[in-house]
Amino acid sequence: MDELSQFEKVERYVLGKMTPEETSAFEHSLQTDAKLSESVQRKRMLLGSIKLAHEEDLKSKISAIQERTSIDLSQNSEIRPRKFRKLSTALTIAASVLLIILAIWYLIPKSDQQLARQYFTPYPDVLSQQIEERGFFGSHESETYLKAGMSEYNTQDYSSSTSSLASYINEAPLEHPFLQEGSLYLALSYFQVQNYPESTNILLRLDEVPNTDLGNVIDWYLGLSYLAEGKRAEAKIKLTVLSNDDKYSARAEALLESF
Amino acid sequence: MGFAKRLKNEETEAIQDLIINTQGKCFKYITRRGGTIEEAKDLMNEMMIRLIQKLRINNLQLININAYYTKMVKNAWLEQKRKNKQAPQVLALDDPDQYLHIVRQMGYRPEEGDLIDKRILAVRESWQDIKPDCRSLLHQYYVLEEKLIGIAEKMGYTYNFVRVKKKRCWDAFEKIFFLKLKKLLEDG
Repeated sequence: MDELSQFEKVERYVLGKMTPEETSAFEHSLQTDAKLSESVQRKRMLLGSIKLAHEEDLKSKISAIQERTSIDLSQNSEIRPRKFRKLSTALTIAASVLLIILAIWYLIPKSDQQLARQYFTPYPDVLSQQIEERGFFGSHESETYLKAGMSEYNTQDYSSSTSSLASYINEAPLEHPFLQEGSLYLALSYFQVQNYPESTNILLRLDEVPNTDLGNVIDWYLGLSYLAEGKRAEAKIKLTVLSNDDKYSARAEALLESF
Repeated sequence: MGFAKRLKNEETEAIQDLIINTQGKCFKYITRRGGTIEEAKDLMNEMMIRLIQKLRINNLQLININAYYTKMVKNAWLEQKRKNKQAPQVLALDDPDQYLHIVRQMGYRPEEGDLIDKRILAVRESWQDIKPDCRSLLHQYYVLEEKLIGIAEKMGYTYNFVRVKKKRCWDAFEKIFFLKLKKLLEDG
């Protein structure tokens, strides 16, 4: 085993990231390999020391914040009665104004962006299962990005998934089998972080790919992305195409009626 | 950036917001049950560290962090009362005993508390002696517990490069740390 793999193995053990089977095998090696055992001890000691030092620093930081905010509270409490009365009048006025604004907001038509987001639901993860079934294309390093990106997409950490999936798209070889699906999830992640122009660009490129299985899916999300950008005419064209589609026709028609 | 993520990154403003939003309730709860403001502050401090760890380790998704944190403090106070311990809880990040034999091998027999202090001091001094990019990489990975792939992205490295760099930085840091620790133990 090379040095880097050995280092990472020790690290995974110390950080508790091994599976029970791996742990058991590793602990068996520890009993017979004194050098390995020492490197585990050294790693554990330094890591523990880093955490201790960091915990001390964090405690001091929190204490300093507490001191600051406590002083503020005590200053406030001295003048609380008069200030509280003033504050309560101000709050009543603010609440009334807020209610009026909310009422108006509900009465006026929704913006294109709001409308698009109202109809948007994240496309389910069909890629992870495909990866499981077909296995990775090879051992290209970009696949790590894909896997991380899908995991972040599934936990709705879209700002991270944009970054991971973009890295996958940029680094994967052209013939990699999951490029189309990866691009779709990248576009949807951009949509979720409200970067609509980027979402539209990617979906447009996907839309140009002939004979893709994702045709209607792409049309639907491209329609929403156009709409979120305020490009109603383009959105209308994409959504109208879906009027005969079993899955999307009802949603597309309802959305078109809201225009 | 979301509030949970800002807390995970230990942003001063996020910690301050959480304290301001929950301090009143926690103080009231603890002082009405026989505690003092100082005890409340200590407990809030420890629970803040525990909350940040929970957010990191479990990747906790919380809808209302203020309510969750307040509940943590209240539960910890009840638990503390139940155990009838006056001293605040101490987070056991590691067991210092297990390292005593390493320094014994180095020829020293320090007291347990003394060893902890020296380890902390050695870490602080060692941080200053490694290159800034190594310090940043190790801090992000081992302290903030960020994913390596994200660190690579932020630092403008490829994933494989950052894997190798992390090992090199760790090796250098480890070497400096044990030299510093040895010197601190020698100096008493």
